[in-house]
Amino acid sequence: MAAALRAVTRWSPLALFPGVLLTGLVLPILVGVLGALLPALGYLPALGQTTWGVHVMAELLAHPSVFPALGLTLLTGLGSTLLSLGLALGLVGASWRTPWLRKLSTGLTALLALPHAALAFGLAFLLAPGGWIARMLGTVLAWETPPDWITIGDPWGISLLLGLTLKETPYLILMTLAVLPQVQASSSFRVATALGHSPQSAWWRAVVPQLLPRLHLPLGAVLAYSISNVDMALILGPGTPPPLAMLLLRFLDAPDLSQRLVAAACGLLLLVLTLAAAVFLLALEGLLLRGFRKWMTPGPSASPGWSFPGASLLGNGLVVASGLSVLTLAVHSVARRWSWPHVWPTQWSLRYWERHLHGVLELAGETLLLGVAATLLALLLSLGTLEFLAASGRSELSHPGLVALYLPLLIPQPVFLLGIQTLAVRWHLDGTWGLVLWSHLLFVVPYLFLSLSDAWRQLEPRYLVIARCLGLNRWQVFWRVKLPMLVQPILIAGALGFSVSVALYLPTLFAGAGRVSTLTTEAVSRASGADPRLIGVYALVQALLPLLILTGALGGSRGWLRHRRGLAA
Amino acid sequence: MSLELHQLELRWQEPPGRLLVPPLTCTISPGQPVTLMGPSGSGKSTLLAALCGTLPPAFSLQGRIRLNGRELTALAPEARRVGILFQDDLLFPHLSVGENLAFGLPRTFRGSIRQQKIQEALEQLELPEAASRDPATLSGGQRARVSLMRTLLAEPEALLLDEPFSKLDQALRQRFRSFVFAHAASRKLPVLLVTHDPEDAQAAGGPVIHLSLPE
Repeated sequence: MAAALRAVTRWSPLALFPGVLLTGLVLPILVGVLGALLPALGYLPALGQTTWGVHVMAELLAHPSVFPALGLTLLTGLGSTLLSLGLALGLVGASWRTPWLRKLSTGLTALLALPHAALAFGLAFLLAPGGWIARMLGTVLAWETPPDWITIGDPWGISLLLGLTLKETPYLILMTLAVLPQVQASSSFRVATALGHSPQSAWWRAVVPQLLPRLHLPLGAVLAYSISNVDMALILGPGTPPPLAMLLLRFLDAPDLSQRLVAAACGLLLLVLTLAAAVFLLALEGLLLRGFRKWMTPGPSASPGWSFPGASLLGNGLVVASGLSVLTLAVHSVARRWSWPHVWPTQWSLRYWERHLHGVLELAGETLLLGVAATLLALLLSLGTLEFLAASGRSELSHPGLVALYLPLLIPQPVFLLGIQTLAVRWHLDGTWGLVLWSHLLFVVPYLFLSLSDAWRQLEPRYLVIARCLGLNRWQVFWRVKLPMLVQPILIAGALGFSVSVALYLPTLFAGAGRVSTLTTEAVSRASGADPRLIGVYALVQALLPLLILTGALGGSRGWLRHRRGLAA
Repeated sequence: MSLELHQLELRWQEPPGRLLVPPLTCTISPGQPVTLMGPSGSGKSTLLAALCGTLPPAFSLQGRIRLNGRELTALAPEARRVGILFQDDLLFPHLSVGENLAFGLPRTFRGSIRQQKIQEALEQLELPEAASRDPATLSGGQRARVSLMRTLLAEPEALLLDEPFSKLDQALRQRFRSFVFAHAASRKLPVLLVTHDPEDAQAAGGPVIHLSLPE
């Protein structure tokens, strides 16, 4: 981005946008990381700690939960990342040339908009011994009591791994679809089949090796989230020992303030773990694409090769499982009595809705305000930066710029949020609405910018040349050609940006300091021990809010495009 | 040894039944390349896609395609043994030159024989040292020749050419044209050439079919 700044001749007001992006969003992340690293090395003057050394790290490593937590985090984080990638590539490979995927992509966008916590609660309700899956089996097999299986919070983190996979696969599918045109997948595929390769072989040998290097950043974001998430881990993960990020929160919540240092050390460990996992994935890719590359050129075989079994079934399964999760939230919220093994409640009641409607709506209003504000600001910053790039003759960010933009997604959230929180407390900014809004921008901007820059890149540049030749200036081209042509991607990107804000748990918790809360923080805080009916109410509203906005955006853009068939994607 | 098209016609699905290419019957024999000419939009490339088995779902096909007595119409692209060369060389950027050549080489060639086949091909290309090179480091003409060799190593029984000379400059075009036709002739492959350039048709030397724009 710095290079982009230099490229513009003299002063351009547009340079303000990437400038704000750089100094307002990327720089604080680095400061935040530093703010977490120093205490990890023993330096936290606010608590009178100024002895540099590894004694804090040693204290952390002596904690009995650390190594089990480390293993658990690695298993769920790396496992769900690899599983999501395999599923996404397999699904796209089995279906990218069929109309089926186009139909599914609206469903996938909806899944993307679904907040992590709502999905995790729904999945917990589905998998629980008294949940729908057990009840259906129980009805068919005539079980007299609920099974005694351990699903939610199982000590191996399997249900957490499943939940993460369910949430991340749609994102990786959409990212894979976005890079397909960049690698000219269609012509590679045509050449490979003309040379005698079966469709599966052509996909894995000719297309996937070209895709993988372009998926590094999205995959890094998935990895960092899977390793360091707290909201899904609180709902689906085991408690003793918990994953590393939850252990960090426990140190932070400890009454003994010196435990803050241990929490910082835990953050450092999380950072190192994420880096190590990323290096492992890169090494794995290097092995497949460079070390043992013979698998790519054994020649075509006459047999159709192994095919991805039931890809369409699995793809629909993702949508159906998530849909059922939301539905089970709704059913739980209106259940009064629900005796075993009935699939539907035996007595219904709106009591919880009546009792909590006021509070939930108030929270929904706060969440909406925060999300809309973050989305509009992020739109302004992203559109400005894209225009700045266009004005300096580029259609996209340079690679370092892209990495900088991805930074909040690549670094485990607890690490830099911890550092930022320390600073915020010092400057008396913690718990202010402004800080929460800003912390949301850290995450809304990258998603929104990346989704918009795809649309910007795909816009036929000759339209703009024609408009300029017809006498419009750059500003007029932006308002009268670009924006109207890109209404649909802008609305959808906005809706996704909003859903990112709604879903944020840890940033709201850290920046809000308990004084600013959203549907997400309230719902997650009820994760342990609260009445499922109450959870149903909160989580359902949390799930519906972004879905409503997305439906509005899709409906709005359809209305806009009704008489413009050439623009409909 | 021949590629036979019998009453082959292409229609749009939307509006249903609209004719793109009217019924076409011809027999293409080795050494007698057939040239297909016509304005943009007359369905030349779509016809080649139909022969490859990669016809986009927006079109439907009637009639028969036979290659050396085999009925192709119902076969998957990879089972047809029809080689195609496009306007762009489309060498896989993730593979080296040698690996690109190996990509279509049948599995029956294993181990050292496989290496030997590739080395022979590289020598025919006058690029004996290029096996491990990145295709991006080759010149346009070299890339075009590697692309043809990759197609031939897959042992096709017919060769389709989709304007493969149109992006090359004049001098290169002539050389590559004779390179392609010489190799096709030495392997006794029936060749169908799609082009805009009358010189290509002349060089091919066989009959010319003119397609007109659909009504």
